[in-house]
Amino acid sequence: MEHGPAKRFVNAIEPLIWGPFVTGNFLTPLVFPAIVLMLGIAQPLGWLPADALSYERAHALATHPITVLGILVVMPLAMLAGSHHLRFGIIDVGSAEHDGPVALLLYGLWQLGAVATAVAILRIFFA
Amino acid sequence: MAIPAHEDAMRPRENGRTRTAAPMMAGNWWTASPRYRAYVAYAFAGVLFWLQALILVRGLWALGTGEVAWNAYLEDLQNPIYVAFHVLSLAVLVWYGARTYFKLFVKTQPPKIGPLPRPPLGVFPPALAAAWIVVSLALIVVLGGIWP
Repeated sequence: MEHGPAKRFVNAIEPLIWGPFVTGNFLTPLVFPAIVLMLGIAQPLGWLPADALSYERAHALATHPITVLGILVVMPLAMLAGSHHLRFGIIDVGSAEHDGPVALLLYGLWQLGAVATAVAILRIFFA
Repeated sequence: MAIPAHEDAMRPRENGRTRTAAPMMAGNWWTASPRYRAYVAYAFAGVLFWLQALILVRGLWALGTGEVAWNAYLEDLQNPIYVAFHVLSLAVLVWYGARTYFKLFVKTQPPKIGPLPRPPLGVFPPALAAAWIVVSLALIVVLGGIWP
């Protein structure tokens, strides 16, 4: 089958993506449920102490070296796992015909997301 | 309706002497069995990974903007639609994790891990469950204001 340039490029980089994808696929369900529970459910429903997620405490937590490292590792890997999974979901239920452009879009979004995460972390240090 | 499948679908180990037609599949194959539906749901949980990551990046961005933005972010999360979405997300993420750690992980381990022989497969589910509990408890303790 003849492939367009997008698909040829995606085929060339795909071996590099499987490793980080597997890592992201492993880490995301390890870390995200507790964060969703605390930030998305417990906090809005008032189950947490008033100062648990106060600005000062959240700022201190987010600038701790372990947190910074964790965010810079987990968030981009979660985004990559999401993109890669979505790509193969689209191939499986939709069509493999447009895989090249779809994959470029999804991996491009992942790169933007990774940069946005790094910039967001950097901004906290200057807040 | 038949649609094109992935080019490697049903590919033989070695190419035959004659060209074969591109692989095709039924467009609605995934509706035929609960196993197929679970497989597709597992793949499309990628949408949830993205949405949760974006919500967290927005929080980090608000934290970098200042106290007013951070408090506005927390207030936004109190919207019942957000809360309902997070309850759904939590259920999907726990299902996803259980499927990853207890169903798929043991099936994808190579016979050797580096130079070492692989531990018995029965070791993995309890070890992964323990890791999941420890990490979750650590995050709950930190985000819940209990420690530090």
